[in-house]
Amino acid sequence: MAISIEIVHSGKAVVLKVQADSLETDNVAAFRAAITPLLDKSAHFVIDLSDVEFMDSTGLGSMLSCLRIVKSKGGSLRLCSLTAEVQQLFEMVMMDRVFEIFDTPESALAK
Amino acid sequence: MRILVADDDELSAEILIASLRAMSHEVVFASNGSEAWRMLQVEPFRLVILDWVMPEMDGMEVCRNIRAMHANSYTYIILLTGRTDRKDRLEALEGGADDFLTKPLDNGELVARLNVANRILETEEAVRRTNRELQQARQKEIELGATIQKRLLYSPPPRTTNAIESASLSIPSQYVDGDFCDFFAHGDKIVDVFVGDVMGKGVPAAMVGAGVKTGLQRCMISLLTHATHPGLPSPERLLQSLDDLVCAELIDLGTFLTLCYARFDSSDDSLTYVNCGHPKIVLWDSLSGVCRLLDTTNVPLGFSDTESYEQRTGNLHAGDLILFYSDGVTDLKLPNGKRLGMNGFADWVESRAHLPLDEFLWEVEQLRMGGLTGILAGDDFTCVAIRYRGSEIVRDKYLNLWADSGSLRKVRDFVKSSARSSAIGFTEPEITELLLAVQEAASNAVRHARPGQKGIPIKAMASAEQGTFVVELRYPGIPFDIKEVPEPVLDGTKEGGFGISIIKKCVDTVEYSFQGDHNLVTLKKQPKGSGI
Repeated sequence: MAISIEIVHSGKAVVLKVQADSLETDNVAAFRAAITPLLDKSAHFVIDLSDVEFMDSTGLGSMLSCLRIVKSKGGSLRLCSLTAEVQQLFEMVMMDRVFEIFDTPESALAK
Repeated sequence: MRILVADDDELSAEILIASLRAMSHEVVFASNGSEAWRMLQVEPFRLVILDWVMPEMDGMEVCRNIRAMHANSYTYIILLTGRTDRKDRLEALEGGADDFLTKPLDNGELVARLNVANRILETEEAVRRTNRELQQARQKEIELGATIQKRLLYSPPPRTTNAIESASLSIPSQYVDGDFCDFFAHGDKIVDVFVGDVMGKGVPAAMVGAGVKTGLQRCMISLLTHATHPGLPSPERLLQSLDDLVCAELIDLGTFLTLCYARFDSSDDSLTYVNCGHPKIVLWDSLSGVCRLLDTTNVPLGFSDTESYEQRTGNLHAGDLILFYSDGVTDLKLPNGKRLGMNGFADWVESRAHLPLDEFLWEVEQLRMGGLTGILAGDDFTCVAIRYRGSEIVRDKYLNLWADSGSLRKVRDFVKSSARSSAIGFTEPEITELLLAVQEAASNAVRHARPGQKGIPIKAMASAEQGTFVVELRYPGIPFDIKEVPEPVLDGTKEGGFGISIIKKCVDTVEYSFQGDHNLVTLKKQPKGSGI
């Protein structure tokens, strides 16, 4: 399944929009390959998940992996625009406590 | 003409050269045999006049060297000699000389001998030109044959239909041959695939192949529209009809062909085939993970005009891999010098059959490269790989599918539509939970039940029983013990280990069991507030 990541805003923090309707076993390797080089471009990131209607535990794992990479460089990673389904998953495994989650990219950047 | 003259006697050479130049020939002079031989190795001369007796290398030796050289064009050799006896002249002719000039030189004789040389060289050039043109024409014919083969003979089935997924590899031999392949799609549930190989090589074999392929199409149309027995003809009836049409002609032509005709029917998950002497179909059963060879049923077409065709039928499961291939595959020599053979090929396939088709055929290609020796370079090499997916078509309350990571979405879609259409009034968040649980259970099966393999057959069932929605996943492979799974780490320091915990949170009960030959995961969920 094809996946691409669009850099929608590049300032003090970089906003990355995941362009795929799911992030799961099927495309998680492609997602990791696409996002890893982008994480060198800045220290602060916002990942926009508004298109992602379904995420499974491997997708969640890849989010945690991004968080670990960014934090190891002293940077930050925020998530925004989660769909109801993905929000539900994050709350279920209490990842809403691990990630900073915002409603919109603007609110993620504002803080 | 450009002429090489070799003579150690300067005076006699000068006279000869002057005469030749007077006749407008261009002359290159060598003062002995070795010098002449050196010059001949650098550039060819059409006409060479050699003194017989010279120091270091005499005329006869130069003559023999020229004949041993295998040059592109013919060199006409005249020996200059004072010898006139029969024995000497015979020896010179045997050594490769074409003519003689007697010393002392007579101008009239020189002109006459040169005219003879010219006539012979012109004839030789004309023959050479004709040969070249013939060769070019033949090359063109071979290229045309290769195009016939590619365009008319080799039409593998489409990449995906509802019943099958397919991919094919065809490495033509350096010759044109009569390998062919085609398919008939009957609606969205049935696909026929057939492959054949005509005895012999070259354009005649390709044309017989094209003729038989057309014949088969004609038979199909004629049987489909038959006045008394219309409808889809069985493979055996089709082959019988093809035999009636072409067998006598094949016998007349003194040729025969092997043909394997197979029907994939996803309405009853069956494979029906007739195999007339073609390499045996390799069938990898996705449930057991074992390969077997399906027996041939008949002799090749053109062997006997009293053959009675017999078809065999077997069951297929989603994910089964079916291979048709040419004997170029089984003739491969292994590094130990042994022929691969059909059994060897089936064994080789077994550990790779789970791969996506393109990856599988890439491995087949590597097998060929690894096993290739000079002897085999001319063998044609084709392999048509079919992944049976027929029962992905949802029927009643279950879905059979070949599950790789890319097809889990189909399991979710199946469960989603079953849950929505059931009488159980799930809310959207509840349906999300159900899908998460199914996804984790199915992805767990794909990743762990057959370690290292990229796919597994899964049978998914969904039903609503007394207010409870039940999803069952059945698949082969290593049993899974849910009790051994540790609790997940929820502080963000671990990237994995959430799967089972998610399943437990998303459904009311989850049970893993092993049913003799397959794993069974049962997920049960009731809507909240149902009070049951």
